[in-house]
Amino acid sequence: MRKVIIVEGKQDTEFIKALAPTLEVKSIEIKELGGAGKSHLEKLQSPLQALKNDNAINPIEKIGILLDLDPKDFTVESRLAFVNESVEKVFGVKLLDTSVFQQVSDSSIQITCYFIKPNLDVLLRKIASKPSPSADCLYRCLETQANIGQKEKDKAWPLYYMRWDICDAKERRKGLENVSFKCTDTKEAWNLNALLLEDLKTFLSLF
Amino acid sequence: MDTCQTESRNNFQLQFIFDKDYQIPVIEDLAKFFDNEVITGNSKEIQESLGVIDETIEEIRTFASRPGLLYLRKKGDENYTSVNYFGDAIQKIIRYVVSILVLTKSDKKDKIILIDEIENGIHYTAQAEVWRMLIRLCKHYNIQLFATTHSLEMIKAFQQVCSEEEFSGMGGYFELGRLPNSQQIIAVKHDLETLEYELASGDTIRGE
Repeated sequence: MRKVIIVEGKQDTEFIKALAPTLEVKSIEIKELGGAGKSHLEKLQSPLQALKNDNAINPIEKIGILLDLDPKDFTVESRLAFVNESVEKVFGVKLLDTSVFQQVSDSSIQITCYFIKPNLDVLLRKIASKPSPSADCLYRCLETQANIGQKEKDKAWPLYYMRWDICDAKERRKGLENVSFKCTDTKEAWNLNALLLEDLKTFLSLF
Repeated sequence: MDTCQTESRNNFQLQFIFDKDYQIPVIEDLAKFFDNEVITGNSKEIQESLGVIDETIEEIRTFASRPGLLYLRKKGDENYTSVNYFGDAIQKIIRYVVSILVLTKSDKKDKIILIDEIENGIHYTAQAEVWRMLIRLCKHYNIQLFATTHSLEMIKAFQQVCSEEEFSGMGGYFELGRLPNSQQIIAVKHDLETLEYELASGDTIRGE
């Protein structure tokens, strides 16, 4: 039976595929939401409803929801409540904790969730394995700009790091191709053995 | 008509339209139907119906000197043009209109029209307009329409039209598939918001 992990975006997909190569071996499907901030509740409900529809014809065994915690907007409890608003509406069950499967009644589906703390962008900054003078310099400059939100600053660092510290000039000219987690991971730009990734790896091993 | 089957059940009247290569729209039959309507004084309804589907069409008529042909005249035009020059889509639409009008003559309370493989012969750029025309007409005559298709483009056009204000709440999408164990055919309802997500994300929605 099928196993599905729902993530926020393309970078999350590339990241968890690199972190847990067995996901591809096990043919685990990854679905992207395209954002899951506090104003994006409907973005979670539609894919869950789509999976419920699909389950009638192609049964699903496990569904995992992997989102950033984003502490500025959520606590673990309020993020769980955010997820449950969609999960309860679609499947009629409530997730009680992260990394714990909840069985959907009258169905083969078990569902769970996990929150990346504080979010993927900060996590990537923490596991960068190469020197990052350009990204750090640009980030320091951003920090002096009061009109730019913390989330945008956090998002900028991994992009600066991949573009200016990891890719060379020739690669930068084809930025769409090369400035990505997948591409920079082949250059050992990230320490995927970092201890702070263990919890997330344990979650992924549930699938 | 060769391509239509009409069936009367206890509580409802059914009209079934299906397309095969050897069953292209039979305009001669439509022309005969139209002539009968003229003779019985009911042709005004056809004129009005065409107005529902395309307000630029002002008149539809036959000519004794050209039997078996239907002619349309658009607003502002002096000349009549044979429907044969309007392409498969308009001929098909006329056939749908006639089928719907045949249904309206039934005294049954519930009227249903079934169209198999609705996308056949309709260019993808005209698909949304065909849905608009059909839904308007069925709403006008209080007829329930069921259409089948394997065409992703036709489903996209349907979703697009049903999200427009005029057609809000008027359509539903059902995916037919087989239960994995018993192979029994089931219908899974997709609400239109979820269908929009499924179409955008490339999810399977055609019983795959």
